[in-house]
Amino acid sequence: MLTLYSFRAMTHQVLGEFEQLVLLAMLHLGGEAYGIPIVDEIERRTGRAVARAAVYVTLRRLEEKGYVSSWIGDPTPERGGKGRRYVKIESAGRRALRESRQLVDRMWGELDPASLRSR
Amino acid sequence: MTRPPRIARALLRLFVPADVRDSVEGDLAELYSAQTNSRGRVSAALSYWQEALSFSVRFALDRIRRSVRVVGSIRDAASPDTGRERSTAWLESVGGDARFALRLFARKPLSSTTIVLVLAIGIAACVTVYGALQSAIMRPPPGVPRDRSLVLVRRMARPKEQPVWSPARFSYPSLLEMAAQRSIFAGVAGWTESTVSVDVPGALDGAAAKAQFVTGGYFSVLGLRPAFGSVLPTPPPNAPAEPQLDAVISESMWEDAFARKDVTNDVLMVNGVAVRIVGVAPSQFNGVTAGADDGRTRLWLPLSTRATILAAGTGADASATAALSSVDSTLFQVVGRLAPGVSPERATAAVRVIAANAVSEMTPPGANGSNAAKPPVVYDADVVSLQGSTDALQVALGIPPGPGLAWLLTLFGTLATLLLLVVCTNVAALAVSGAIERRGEIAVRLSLGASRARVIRQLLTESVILSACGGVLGLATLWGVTIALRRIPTTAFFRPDFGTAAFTMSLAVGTGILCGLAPALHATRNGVAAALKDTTTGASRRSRLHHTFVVVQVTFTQPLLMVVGMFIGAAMLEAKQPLPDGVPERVLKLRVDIASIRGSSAEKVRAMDRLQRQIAQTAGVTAVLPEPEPVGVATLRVRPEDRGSNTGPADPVSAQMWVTAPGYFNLIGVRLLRGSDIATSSDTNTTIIIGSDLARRLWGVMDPIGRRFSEIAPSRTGSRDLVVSGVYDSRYFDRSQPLLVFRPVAKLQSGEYLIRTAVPASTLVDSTRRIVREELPSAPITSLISLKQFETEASVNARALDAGLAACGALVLFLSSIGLYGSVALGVRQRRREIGVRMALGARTEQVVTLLFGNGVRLGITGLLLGLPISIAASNRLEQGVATGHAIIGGVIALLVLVVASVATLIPAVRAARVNPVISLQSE
Repeated sequence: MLTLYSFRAMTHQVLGEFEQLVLLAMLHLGGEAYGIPIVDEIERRTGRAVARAAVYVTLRRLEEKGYVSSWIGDPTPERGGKGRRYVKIESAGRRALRESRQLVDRMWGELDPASLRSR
Repeated sequence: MTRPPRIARALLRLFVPADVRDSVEGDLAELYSAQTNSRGRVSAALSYWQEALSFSVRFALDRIRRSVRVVGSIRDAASPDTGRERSTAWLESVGGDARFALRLFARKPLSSTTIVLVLAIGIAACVTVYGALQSAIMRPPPGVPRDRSLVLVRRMARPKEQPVWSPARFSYPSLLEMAAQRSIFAGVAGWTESTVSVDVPGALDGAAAKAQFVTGGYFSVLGLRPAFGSVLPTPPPNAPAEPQLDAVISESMWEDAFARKDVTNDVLMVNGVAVRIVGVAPSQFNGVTAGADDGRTRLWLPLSTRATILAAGTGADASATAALSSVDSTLFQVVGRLAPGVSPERATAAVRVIAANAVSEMTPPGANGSNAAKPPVVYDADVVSLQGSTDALQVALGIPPGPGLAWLLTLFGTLATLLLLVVCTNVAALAVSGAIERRGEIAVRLSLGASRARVIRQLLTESVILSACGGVLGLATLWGVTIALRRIPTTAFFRPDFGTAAFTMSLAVGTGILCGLAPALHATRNGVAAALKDTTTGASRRSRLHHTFVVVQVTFTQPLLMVVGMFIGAAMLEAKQPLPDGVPERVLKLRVDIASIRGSSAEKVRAMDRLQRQIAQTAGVTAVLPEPEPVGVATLRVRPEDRGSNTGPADPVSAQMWVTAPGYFNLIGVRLLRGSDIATSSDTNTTIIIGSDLARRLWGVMDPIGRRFSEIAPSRTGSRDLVVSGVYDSRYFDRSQPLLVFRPVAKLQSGEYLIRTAVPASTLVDSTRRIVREELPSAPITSLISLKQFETEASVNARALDAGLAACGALVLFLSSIGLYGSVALGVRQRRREIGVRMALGARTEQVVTLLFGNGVRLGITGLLLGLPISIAASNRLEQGVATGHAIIGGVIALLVLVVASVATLIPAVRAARVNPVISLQSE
């Protein structure tokens, strides 16, 4: 399924919330992150349940955008002879994450999160 | 290592893209393995299914989203507007609705699962019944292609004084005359059936099989294509009449005897004659009309081989040959293909002329010194479409041909329609109940700025997903039912039709969608203020809707259960009492094909007498008797001087008359209640044995021995008085069948024997088989089983039917209970504020429960009264086939429905009354 987008052009777009969560989870996990621990990390840090399939769809999209790369590990019997797809964040992904954080910080500006408490 | 569920894995392979499929499957397998160890296999499987469905939906939506992006990109290259964003946003929005719907279902698993199950079970049940009806009425026999020009040419006969037609056959000259009518028939084929002995090395050893000797072009007329090899070749018109010793075997024989290997040019022995196999009949094809046994016709042979093969079996070469040229020898059933533009009615007219000419050429009864003058017989013929395999359905249900089948088809059609109505009502009630509960949410959405279309789209998405799940599960259930039925030979005629399934699904699923949508349409019609106001009131127009659902459900459920209950009641009341303990295990049933016995008639009789004597002398055998044989229906009237007080002035009795050898009742362990079964017959009277039911009906407690009947419609010329010489216990015979009377005769030669043994009958099977082979080497044994095994096999159909009816009744009750409970429970929840107010004002719990319970019972009684006319009409219609206590069964059913409605009302009423009134008031 071809797309006429330029992948490069998308590096200047802001990441979606869930895309940020996935990338941040990968950063927390460090070297060998794959689907299962990424889901666990997001759930642990956010305290909410995450649809596992959403993580996989997002990883695929991020890889198409060039933000992450992946490789296949060794197959194991408990995985039905299939290897793990490990992912790591690329420089474009780090840049996009940084830009997204900067954008949100600019929007917050001088606003104090404590001032948003309901009265 | 246990593997994850196969179907869930297949789902993943279908929806997950190839580039990530392995890693997804691997990760889920890893999770499954870990969960199996920690939580158990069932929990792990459920979790795996959940993930598989989630992955499938998300990747499917992702694929759609990508497709839209492509389309949008191409369009934007031509026109620079924001169409791409709009279409993508729309899809994202619909995807969001779907995700919200899935989360909603996850929060309310019970109600969501209930709707899906009700839809699935209802669709499967309705499509099964509709499919069976359609298979019976509109579809050809298994293996025969659907072709409107294919017709069955039927011949019927009846004794002149009797109204019931019986099937008859055509002679070969008549068949040729029909084939010559090229303006009527594009092709005509006939067949005659015989039992033969088949030997296949290593597989079949003298096994009795049905052989159909067919005319040339049989397979081409029917348009049959072989499953393997080729069909019988059509001989050229002027070919010499030499037998082509070729055969086509049935698929079942191919499986049983040849393990589906290449059988082309293989040889099998038929009555000791080597026959070459040229092919295998189409899958499931067992002949155009199923026979009275299991219908597993084994092979088809050219008609030219009949004389050779039957002669090898019987030694009567001349008779087999002469049968083809004589108009008196009516052996053939006929099938034809109508010429273009010819209707069955026009073909019927032509066939009637041919049949009438044949009758005029037949030898008159009593001529040529025939020793038994036959009663005058009337013949008729017609042409019917081959599109309905009603013969197979009759065999499957064990009912005799005649108007009974049409009545039964009408009954099943009515049952299926009522069941569909119950399902739709159920689904509507559950969907509306669920949607009404969310009117508050709908009102809030409207107040926050959501458009009417947006709210409607959300509910429509939910309804579509839920109904689609129910529909898919229903189709899966139907698929399983179809596979199960195909394993039973007697239900081989059943094949569900896509159109039937689509119609039933669209009706049920459409109901679910519309009823889920209706409250939203209603709520958004009058604006936000009206919607908000509507949610703050307690009792409202909604309660009338609930009442309507409850009443409608009870109205449709009652006649449905009434019909099912009448059948079950009839089966219970009219079921025959088992024979005394030990008798079925100590009686052998032997059936021999006496037509294959060589020699003259006198030689055949001597051979059968020898056989009977030899078997009787076997160690362990205490008695051998021929089985009773039916001779026809007799209409009897009690002679005026012998009438009892119970007998009316003109009270004829129709009874199925059987001839039996003396000692029959003693052999089967059913002693006569009065009199004896000694055969006496004179010019003026003959003795009969009647059942205790008939004796009680005609003479009450008076002794019936010596009383006499006159035959009004005799089965033979020259009526004689029938004197009651004995009374048998009717409880041991099937009372759903017509009355049985037995006429003892001194001599009976039917080829069917009952062998009473002092030891278990199964231990004497081999010795009996050996004796038959020695005394009647040319006669194949068509059956040699114990009476116990015979009764078990014979009752399979009846038991299956009873089990099906009981399951249907339980299903209807289950569906109705769910629907009633759902409707009533929601109605009670809607009155929560009212209940809170009442209890706050001092009402006790039992007063509140009584109020709600009484309301529910009133609705149930209303539904029963409305359903009463339908129940009465159904029971009166059924009376033609089922004679049982309608009032008793109707009363029991009404009580059962009322109990179900009451329980469905009581539970939510008690639960609502127990809630703290403060909480009830606060929740509003």
